[in-house]
Amino acid sequence: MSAVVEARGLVRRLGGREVLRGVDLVVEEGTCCGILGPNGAGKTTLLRVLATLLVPHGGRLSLFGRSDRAGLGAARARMGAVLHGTCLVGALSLEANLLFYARLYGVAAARGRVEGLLDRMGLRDRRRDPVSTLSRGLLQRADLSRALLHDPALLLLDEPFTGLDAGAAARVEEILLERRRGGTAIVLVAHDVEKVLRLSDRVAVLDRGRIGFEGPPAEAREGAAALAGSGRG
Amino acid sequence: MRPSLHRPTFAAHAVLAAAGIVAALWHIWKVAPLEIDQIGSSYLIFFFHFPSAVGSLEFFFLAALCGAWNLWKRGRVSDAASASAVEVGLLAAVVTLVTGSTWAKAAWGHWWVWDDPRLLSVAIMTITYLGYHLLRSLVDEPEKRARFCSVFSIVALVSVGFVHYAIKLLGKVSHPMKPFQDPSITQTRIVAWLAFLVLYLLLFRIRFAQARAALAIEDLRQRAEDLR
Amino acid sequence: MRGFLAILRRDLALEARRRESLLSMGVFAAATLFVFRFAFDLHKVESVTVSPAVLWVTALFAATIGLSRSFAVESAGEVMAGLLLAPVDRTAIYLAKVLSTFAVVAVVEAAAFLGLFLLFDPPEVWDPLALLGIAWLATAGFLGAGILFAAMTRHARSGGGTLLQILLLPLSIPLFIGGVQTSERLIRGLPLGDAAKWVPMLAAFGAIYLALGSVLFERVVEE
Repeated sequence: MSAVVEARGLVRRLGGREVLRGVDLVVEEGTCCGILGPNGAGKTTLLRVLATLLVPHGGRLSLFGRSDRAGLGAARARMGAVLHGTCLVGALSLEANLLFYARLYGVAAARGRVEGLLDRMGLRDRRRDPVSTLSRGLLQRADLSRALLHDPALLLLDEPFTGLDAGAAARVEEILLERRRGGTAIVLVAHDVEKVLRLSDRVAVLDRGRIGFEGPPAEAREGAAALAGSGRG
Repeated sequence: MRPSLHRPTFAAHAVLAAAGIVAALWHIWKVAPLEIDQIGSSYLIFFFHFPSAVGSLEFFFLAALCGAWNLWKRGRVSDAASASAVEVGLLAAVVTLVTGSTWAKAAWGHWWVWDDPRLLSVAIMTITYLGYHLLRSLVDEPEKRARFCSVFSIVALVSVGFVHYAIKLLGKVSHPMKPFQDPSITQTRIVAWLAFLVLYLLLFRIRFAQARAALAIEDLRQRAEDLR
Repeated sequence: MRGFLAILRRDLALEARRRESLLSMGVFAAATLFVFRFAFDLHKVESVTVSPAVLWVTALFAATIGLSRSFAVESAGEVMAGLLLAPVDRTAIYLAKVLSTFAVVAVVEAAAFLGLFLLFDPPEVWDPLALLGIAWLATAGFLGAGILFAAMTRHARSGGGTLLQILLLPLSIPLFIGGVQTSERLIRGLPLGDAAKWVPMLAAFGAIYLALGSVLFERVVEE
């Protein structure tokens, strides 16, 4: 199994403050790495650095074995991400949005792929509606569809379960497990500790820009409880 | 490197600047002719006008260089240098405009001369770089601010070139240049240019040190907050 | 190339559907022309004297409005991040934005010419096509710098629309000069003659700012 994501000593500053203070992370293909931590720990920043949206001020990021600029640029073709806000244009229909992204990523037989995904995610009957009319839950699913369009080998997810009802959340979990079985590496940032522990092969706990704990979910349970117990969870 | 105004090099620099100004004044008084044809004694303003004009260009060029360095290497120090250079450049540009306007009034009776391409260029250049200031004050996030100002410092320099070229192409009447070939005037001009350059560099160093000190204070404040 | 076309297509489709930019620019241009028409007493001042300046002020100010809207789509949610996540050259994003904005501005400028024709009554021998061609040439350079600035000013406090105008104004002076100099001849139906020297300058302006923008856009648009 090869490492899809290899991060060593990632540093990221905001103004004079260090948001990430030397983060190490390795994610192998076909595994899910969950990232937990209190608010302000730097989870979203870390995810955005992994997504190549933010350039680290220190340390090294390697995606699919390449850490040079061109390599990281090329990695974007094999990476899908779901962020806090939607990447879809509100004024366009769901279908038009997905077709745009399919073209952007050079997905072959775009129409067929978009239709298939819409079916899989249960969004088919809303496909012609403008994205601005979709509820938060549907929007999340729509964004996930967008992230999956090009069959990425790496999925980065920032709070994918927020705003989803139990049924929708279960469906998303199902899809993530399916992708993981298919060899996709997943990095999952979420507040829902139980879900993260259930889905992840390894868990990293981020606190104030540093990885305080990294290991299998079972051990993480104790670590998370300790953090919650200290009043900063 | 701790930014400090107390280091010996600052004192030496200040002494050098003062000496330079004295040398320039001496040259203006003793070396350059008292008056020239058609313009009279008012031409002496030139020895303050010319070095400031050149000075503004020098510092805007420096700002663009620091900006380019900031884009390549990222960092707050090169951004502080770029901003400080723009400030000094603006000061020099304003001095140029004021001396130019004073000169125009003394020599030709008007506070402003539309036919002078150089004065026009400097005026537009001043407005351009005031825009730099505005950009700097309206972008809150420090990293974005640094990047945007660096980009702007480069584009602004290019635009200054274009503006100057376009105005020249218009074929307006320029400063009278012939009487300025006199060697004693040239010598005085060079001394004045050097004196002002040293002075402006001193101002730049002061401003730059201030900017770096402000960054250091901000860092300490952040660290104190984090420890809380 | 693929990304460039996809973004261009999306932006043009959005504009074609809502026509927000087209309408605001069009109304602005019409209003400006009307204001100028009434500001000048055409009995005392010759129309051909003021028309070139009126035309260029209207055209470039309208273009500024188009520029302030150029990243309206990307300002909501994480739409910009969506573009940056994709394997798309940042230069391709830049050029797509320039071209999609140009498409709309070019239409408005052509309409402004029609307005000029109606309100300022140019001589019959005037050369509207050459005038429009030069206006488009100047606009290309203007947008080259403008898109770069628009990407920056959208992060500024209080919207950044005014800041964009302030930054673009001194930069666009060579365009005004070159534009008015050439228009003064063309509107009288005269050949360019000496004024032809402005055309290469306008072209160089465009080339240089588009090149600068292509290189610098990446650093402006990253987070």
